[in-house]
Amino acid sequence: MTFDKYVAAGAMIGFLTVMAVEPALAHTGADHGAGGFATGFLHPLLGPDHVIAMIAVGLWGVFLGAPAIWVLPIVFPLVMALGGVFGMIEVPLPSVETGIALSAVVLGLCVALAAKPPLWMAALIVGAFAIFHGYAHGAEMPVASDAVSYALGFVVATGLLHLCGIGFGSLARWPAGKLAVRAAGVLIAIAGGAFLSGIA
Amino acid sequence: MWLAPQGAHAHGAIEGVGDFYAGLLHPFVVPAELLALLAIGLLIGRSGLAACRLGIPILAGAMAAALASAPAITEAPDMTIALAAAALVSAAIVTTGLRAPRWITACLAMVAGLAVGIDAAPEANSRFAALLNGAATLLGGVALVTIIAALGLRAEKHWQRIGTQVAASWIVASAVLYLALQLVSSTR
Amino acid sequence: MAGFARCLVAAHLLAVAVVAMLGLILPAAAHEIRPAYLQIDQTDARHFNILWKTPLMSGMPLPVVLKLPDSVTHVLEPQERPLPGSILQKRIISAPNDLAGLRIEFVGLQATITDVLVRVNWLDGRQASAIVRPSQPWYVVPAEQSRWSVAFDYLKLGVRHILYGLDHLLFVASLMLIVRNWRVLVKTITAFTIAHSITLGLATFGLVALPGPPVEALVALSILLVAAEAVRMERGEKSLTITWPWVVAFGFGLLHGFGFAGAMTDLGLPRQDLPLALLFFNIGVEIGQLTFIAAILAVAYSARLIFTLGKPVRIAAAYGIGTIAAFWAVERLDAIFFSGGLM
Repeated sequence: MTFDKYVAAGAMIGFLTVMAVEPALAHTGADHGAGGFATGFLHPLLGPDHVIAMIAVGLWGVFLGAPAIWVLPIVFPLVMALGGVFGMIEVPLPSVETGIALSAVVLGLCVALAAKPPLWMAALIVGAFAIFHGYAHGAEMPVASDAVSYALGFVVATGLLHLCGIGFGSLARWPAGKLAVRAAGVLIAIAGGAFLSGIA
Repeated sequence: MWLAPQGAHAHGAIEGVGDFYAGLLHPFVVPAELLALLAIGLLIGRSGLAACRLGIPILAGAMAAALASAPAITEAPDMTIALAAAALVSAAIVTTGLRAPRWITACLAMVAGLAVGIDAAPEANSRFAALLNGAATLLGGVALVTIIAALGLRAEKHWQRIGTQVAASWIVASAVLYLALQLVSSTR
Repeated sequence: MAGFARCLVAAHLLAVAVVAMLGLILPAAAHEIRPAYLQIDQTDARHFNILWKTPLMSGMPLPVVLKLPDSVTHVLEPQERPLPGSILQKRIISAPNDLAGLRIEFVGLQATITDVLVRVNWLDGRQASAIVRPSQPWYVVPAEQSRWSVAFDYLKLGVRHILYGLDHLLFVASLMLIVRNWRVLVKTITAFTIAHSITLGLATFGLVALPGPPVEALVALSILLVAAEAVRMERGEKSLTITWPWVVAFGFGLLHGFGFAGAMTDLGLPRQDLPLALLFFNIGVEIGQLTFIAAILAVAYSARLIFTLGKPVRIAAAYGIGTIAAFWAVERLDAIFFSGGLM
């Protein structure tokens, strides 16, 4: 029965409508830092190296197939949060930005080659990226009342980038789509290389 | 109470409605409250029907008690950490995909209800507005948990269960980031 | 379908919870939103007529003062004239630059919950209008204003009007008590929508006019009637309302349209923008109405999955709605015949 889904969507739309219409209510949110959500949400989207690497994670998940494809979006945010905590307590981690660019190259190549390593190896590559990614942003968390919404926006944006990758990766069911996905992998690897060498 | 409208009239007829809607949407627009309620809703939903039937009344009761005692609490503490902690524990259980024992879900529902109730304590000018505001917050919070619990309860297909786990993992990650930040900034 | 019926049971419970609380505690809440109105008309290159109309609330003037910047000079100092239910203030000013960028402040507005409708007419036919809220109690005259921003303003006003108009929401809730499946729900809501759109349009264009207070009293009685029908339905009786709820929804929808029109005509809008404003006000009302229905159904369906809700709940809901509606009806009839007269 899809009834509940429609109703849930309807209620959501309604809620947003009320929020949009009612300036007094928007105030309540702003006082408690709902504004942090937008900042947090935009944060991962503004770093192109992060964006391409996260999309690559989603794309690769499709090639890895079950169970990786659904373990990934569950575990990635947790590892990323761990990385964020490392960033906050300033655990010494060498050359974070290089690590991120490198992971974009590696992930891009994995997609381009449609590589299917054992799960533990894939988890290691993705996990390393997740730690670096979280670390880079963890240090920049605002120490304000809107830290909750910032963190939420940040995590949701990251998750949605994955889902974009997984969604685009689903094209790989068809031969032409598979080619397109692998081509995207090549592009990501090249872009990662550019970040790595400092061109971009 | 029936005589109140004369007072309300002086400022325009719809004043009380404004208080009502502000209270109703309070749990939706305050991020920490939203996080805690979403997490507890997912938890009791995934824990089965019996957990829902126990958890929702407990949560409602705790929220009502906390909201009602708001005037007695002179200096309301910042409940954000408590809310984030409740969200973290509840969502972590959902992320693992395990079924929690009923007493655990009941306890978490009570903690979340109390924390939301204290956090959302009405700040209205009159007792009448405060009553309306608090009642609306109770209604909004319980309605939200009920909807989320029902969605969790009905998540039977594989991808739906994964969906609840993904959502829970997002909540855990947000709560971990927030709590770690509080810890770090308090020790510095 | 059985699931849907049970879901509706829960819908009633919630409808009553939401609306009953408001209704019982706030019987006065269902009155119209009455905004203040500011109109600026250009008379020649440098001169403007300013008309400032503020509503009386229980006989008290609105504690808001119009403040113009020092750059304008008064040709005619403000003059006040009392009208039934409002105060009209007129003045003539001289100002350069078509007023563009002029900042008008409404001192004291932030302490009220009244909106101000602002309307500027230039000699060249250009117009600007806006709704000023207490949260931002000033208006800056724009150089140009798009029709879309006007439309969006009225859309928002429509949503606000229906969400704050508890009697209309309560009527929809009482209809949901009688409706037992999707097809009938869609038919009933559509009939209600079409009917109130017709009378809203007719009344806004001034083709049909009904005085406000009797309409409001009839609106209250219409809720009472549908609630009573819901109780009869639970007893297993048959009637026109129970068999064809959309017929009743259409009939009373015509009545409710006059209620919405009261809000629109109170704004005293000029004719040029009226079709656009009317269209978007009506769309706003529909959005608000569907939001209310979706929210009630969502919670009701969820509650039904978890708890057992049966016939006693439906009957209690009908009695709850009926009680509030009866109270409103008495209150409004009293206002017409004993307290205020026909305004």
